[in-house]
Amino acid sequence: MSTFADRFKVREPRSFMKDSERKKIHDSALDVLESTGIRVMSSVARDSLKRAGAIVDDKTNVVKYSPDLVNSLMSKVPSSIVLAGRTKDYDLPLDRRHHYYTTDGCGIAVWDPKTKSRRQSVLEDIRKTAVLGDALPYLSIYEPMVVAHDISSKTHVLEGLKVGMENTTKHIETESTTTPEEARAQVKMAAAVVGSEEELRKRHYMSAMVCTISPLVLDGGATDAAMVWAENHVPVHITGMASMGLSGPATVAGSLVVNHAETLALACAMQAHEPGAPFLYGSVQSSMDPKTGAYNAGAPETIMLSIGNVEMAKYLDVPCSAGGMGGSARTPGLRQSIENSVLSPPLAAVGCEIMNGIGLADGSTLLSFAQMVVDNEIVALVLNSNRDIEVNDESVSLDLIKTVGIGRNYLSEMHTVKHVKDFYMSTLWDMSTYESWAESGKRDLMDVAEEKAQKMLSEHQPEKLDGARLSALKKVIDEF
Amino acid sequence: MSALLGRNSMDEKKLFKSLSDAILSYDSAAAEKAAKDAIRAKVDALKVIEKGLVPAIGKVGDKFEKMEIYLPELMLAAEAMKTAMTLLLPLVPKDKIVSKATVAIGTVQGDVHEIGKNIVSNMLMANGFNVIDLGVDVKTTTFVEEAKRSNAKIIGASALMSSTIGSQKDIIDYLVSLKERKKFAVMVGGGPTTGEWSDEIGADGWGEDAATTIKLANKLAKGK
Repeated sequence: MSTFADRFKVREPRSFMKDSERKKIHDSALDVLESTGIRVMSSVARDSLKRAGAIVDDKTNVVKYSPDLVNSLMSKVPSSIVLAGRTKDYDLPLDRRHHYYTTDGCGIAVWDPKTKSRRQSVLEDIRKTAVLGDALPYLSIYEPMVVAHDISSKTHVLEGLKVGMENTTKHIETESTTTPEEARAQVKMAAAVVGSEEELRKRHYMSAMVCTISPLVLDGGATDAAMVWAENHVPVHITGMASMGLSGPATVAGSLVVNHAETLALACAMQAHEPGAPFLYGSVQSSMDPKTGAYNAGAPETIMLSIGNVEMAKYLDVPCSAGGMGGSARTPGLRQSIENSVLSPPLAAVGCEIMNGIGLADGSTLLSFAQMVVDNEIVALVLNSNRDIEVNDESVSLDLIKTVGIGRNYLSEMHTVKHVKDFYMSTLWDMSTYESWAESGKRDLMDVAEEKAQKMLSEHQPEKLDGARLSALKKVIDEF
Repeated sequence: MSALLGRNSMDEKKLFKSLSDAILSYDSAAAEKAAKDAIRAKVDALKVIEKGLVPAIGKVGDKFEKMEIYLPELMLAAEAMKTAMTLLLPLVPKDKIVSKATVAIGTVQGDVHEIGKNIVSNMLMANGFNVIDLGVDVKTTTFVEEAKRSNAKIIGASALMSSTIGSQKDIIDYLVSLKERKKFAVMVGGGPTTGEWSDEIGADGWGEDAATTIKLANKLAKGK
């Protein structure tokens, strides 16, 4: 019987870089960490690194790592983990043979297709995206997608997480955690859902994104939080964002080195603090817009960088969530869909295990429910075109070819009846005629997607959390 | 050099041209040398700025507008301009220094992203503003105290994280609580910010990128 995870199975990854090229990037990053070092703004991380043997300058907070130290600490990283759902049906093994998708985060506005304008996001938008995310068949992981501007800044991350946990059974990824206290509260919440903190260490129901600050800085609050994640074995997506030409060199290889150094630096800090803490190589690099310096998520260079990130994760033999869809179109629609369609296929082929980015436009800031549905369709196309090509007696069907022979057809063969069920059928568009399209109102694809999103939102009933666990989540927030 | 010391108009023109060339070739070392030559030749520093530097940075701006050059060239020109200005400005009598306005700029509390803020800071300086750069992770109270201390007309608050843009609102709320909101124009910017966000929190303008922020500052310098 096939599982939810089977939906995301893809063929064996290909290599896009030579071993010698990956080694050169890795060795260069080791050189940077040994000679230049990295500024670590978290005293907890610095203390752990110092105990492990790193050289810490207490005046500048710059930490230098020897190659031996990096190799020793990295040897403790689990190479394969399972991201757990709220129920086991939604467990996601990270075994280099799956290609999963998360929602994007963390936007600040919501697109109104009627007025063609933006409005500020609120908590109800998080609930809706969790419900829709739960319903979308090709979304693997839910991340609260927007900031709840109607909730105080003190608790908005926790409230968003609660709404997410409440409305989807899929794995939860949290973002925007800026203090260790906020991390501890979220650990309590995830523990309440899975049963206990001890159980959470085994069942990774929640993972956390932690960004580095390029070039070569680990933020204080977010890195303190990363140490809390490590203590509780919450997998951390280490998300470097070095931007070519701005916060990284203006070449793909150079920016890969900066990103790799930052990733190793935080991964090693976690291992020094809590040996065996799981992490994912989770970069989201881009080139800058040469005119403004802005993040340019839909650029071809972004794909090159993401491919390089995945290659470096494979080099380290660690789970990988590098790259994603989520282009830079200012509004949802054609350009966003083109960019997302171009961003995904090479990353499915190279072996990216988790792709970020369903549903937000404008550099991950603008939520669109219709775009969530369109992106789900793009993912479906990518996955269903990256399956293994089965070659066996049944699939080769030599006898059948001989039997049908010359000039007849395969339509009424039982072999066809059996296998036609495997053909991918779009859930968003059909193959009806021009006349049928004209008669049904000549609707644009985004209109169709919006209607589908609203229908799913009104009809889908996620499996709710029981009252006891819900009360436990509420208690954590009330006491925060 | 002896010819330069003669200070005839032809020599001055050469000096202005060498400064202009330095800016237009994005060369800080050449700008420093040309500024020092001008100082040695005892040419009026204000004249050097007005005739040599200002037209050159204007040309750079025009090229950028036409997309003949990109942000890196713009930054290098601003740095070359800053190098020359650092040498020349102290020689201009204080009563003759005319900056467009003083801008107190920084990255908000909890946020240590500085590249975008530094770009804007340098470009404001190159465009004739007196810039008080407060750095990163700047407390709300520090923004206001430093703006008051430096008699700034504009406060510029940068935020790069959706979790820290709330601190931009805090600055405005703090000014309101002090009943000093009208004393300062507040402009906001950074990756996750938008025009709607700027309106929502009651800021006086949103800098979408460095170039538009300079235009916004020019407008705010003339009055909100």
